[in-house]
Parts: sequence; C-alpha cells; structure tokens
Amino acid sequence: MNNFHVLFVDDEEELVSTLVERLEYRGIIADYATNGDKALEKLHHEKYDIIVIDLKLPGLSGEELIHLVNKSYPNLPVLMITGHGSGKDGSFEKPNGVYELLQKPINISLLIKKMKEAIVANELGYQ
Amino acid sequence: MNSDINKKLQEQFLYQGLGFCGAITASVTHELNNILGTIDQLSGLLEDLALTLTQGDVATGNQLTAISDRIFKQTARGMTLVKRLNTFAHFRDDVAAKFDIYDAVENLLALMKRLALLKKVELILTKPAEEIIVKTNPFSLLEIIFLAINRILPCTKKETVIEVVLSKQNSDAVITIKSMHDGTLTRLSDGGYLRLLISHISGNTKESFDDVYYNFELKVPIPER
Repeated sequence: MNNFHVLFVDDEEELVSTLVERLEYRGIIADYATNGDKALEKLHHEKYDIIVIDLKLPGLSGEELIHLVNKSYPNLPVLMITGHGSGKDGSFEKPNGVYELLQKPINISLLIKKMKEAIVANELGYQ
Repeated sequence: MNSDINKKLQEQFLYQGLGFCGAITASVTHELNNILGTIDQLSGLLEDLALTLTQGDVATGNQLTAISDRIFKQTARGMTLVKRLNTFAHFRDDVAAKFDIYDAVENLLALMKRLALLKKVELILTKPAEEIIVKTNPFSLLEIIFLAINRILPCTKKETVIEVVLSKQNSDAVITIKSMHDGTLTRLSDGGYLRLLISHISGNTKESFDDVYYNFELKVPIPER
C-alpha cells in the first residue's frame, strides 16, 4: 500500500523537498508546504490521505496548524515531526489530534510505516 | 552588606547570561539538526539512486553532481553556523575588550535569524559609514542587544523587519533598534534587568514609540585613542 497522497509541512525546504523525492522513489505521491498558511491553501485545493507537520514553523506554529487541520479536516490523520529535544530522553509530549510524534532526523522506513499505520487507523476510526 | 548586594548581582548576571547562551544555543542546534537531517536525506537519495541503477536505470553524471552539490551547500551552511557559534562563545573570554561593534552585532544577528523568522520577522543590520571600535564587556553588550530585540519581537508586526543601525555620535557608539509594532506594546516587559545590564556597561538608553514605530537607542562610550 504505497498509493497514498501525503502533505509535508516544514520550513526547512531542502530537507522536505529531498524527503518528497525519496518518497516518490517508493511510489508515494508527496507534496510539501513551507509554512502553515501555504499548507492550508494546499489542503483547500488538493485531497490528501495524511499530513505530516513540523512542530517549529514560522508564523502559524505547528500546534496551531494541527488545531486548524483537526477542526477543518477531522478525517485527515496527522503525524508530527520535531527536532525539539525536551526532557531527559529528548522526548516531547504528543499534542492532541496527532497520531504519532517522530523525532528528527527522520528514518524514511519508520516514517512510511507510521504513515501507513495512521491511515489505516483513521480508516478504521481508531484515531 | 555591599558584598551581599554584589554577590546577588553577580548571581543574577550569571543566571541571565546562561539564559542568553541557552536561547542562542537552542536555536542554533535546532538549525544544525536540520542541516544534518538534510545531509542524511540527501545521502539516502544517493542510495536510492544507486539502488535504481542496479535495477537497470542509468543515473546521469548530472544527477549525481546535483545531489553532491546539494550536500556541499548544506555542509558549508553548517560550517558557517558552527564558526559563528564559536565566535559568539569567545565573546565571554574578556570582561573588557576593544572590538569592532559591527562584526560583533552582525554575528549575533546571524545567530538570531531563526528566532526572528519563527515570528515572521527579518533582522536587518545597517553597516556604519566608518568603523566603530568600542571598549566594553562584549558579552554584556551582545546580551543587551539580544534582550532588546527579544523584548520587541513578540510585538513586531508580522512580515516586517527589525532594523539595527550602528552609528557614531560625538564620543558614543549608538545602537538603534527600530521596528513597526502591531499595537500590542502594552505586552512589553518592564525591562528591569535590561536597564541594570546597560548601567553595568555605563551605557545610556532611550525608548520611544508612536502609533506605528518602536525605537530603542543605546549609547556606549567610545574609548579615547
């Protein structure tokens, strides 16, 4: 199951565009936005199966964007990524409305696994 | 009694100084993490390309060169950032030093760039017409500029700039921080520690604003040659 459409939101453009290229090598249709406003615009025009949001975004923060996405697109599963290390183990508490929180640097196999899990869980109504 | 006050002041300087270093380090290491993450993904992309090659696809030299260029750009970006952080760390070496104020402020603003961008604000530094050498506590001076910018940042209108202008006025170096505010200046902190730090380096400050602009001015004496 690689035929899904994902939207990444991260202001680190070279990182996110490379990730998109790598996912495309694996047959996943991926797109990206570099801030929250651009992401909302894309969501308005395109249909996505999942959205992956970085915690630290310029302007609208990752948490604010998640809140808006949950409100306007309640059936869209959300993954969150962060380079933010807090707590002894570098963990950061998962906000409400997020299926899974992943730490940077991103392991592509783990990312794909979690995206699939989130989509399936959402389809089954577990999220 | 006086020694007690002095001790408390020293403790406050140390505590606040650690906060300043922490804020800069957190922001820079976040960016370094992004750079390393990008290099990691680009290396993965090379691996992906190599895998498709074994499956019969032909990678052109251009594809490989393009990815390699992207890796070089990220390593250069990382090295610049590490160099800037190292320069910043060495400002703690002397309690009083003669230095070019433009070089010091330019380095600080580069390290603060991401903090400002997260608020959708750009930091701009105007180079003075002539070299301005000051003799003061370099770390304290940078901390003052950091605190002054950080104080106005949440009240600055989004998608605008905070402009830092360096100039000379008689026997003073003048640092002006100007920005367009968003009408929420009532949220400005009282800046008590900032004033304390300014008096510590024998500086003078003036703050003013109107309906649109906020202005902060700091004067630091220039030593006689």
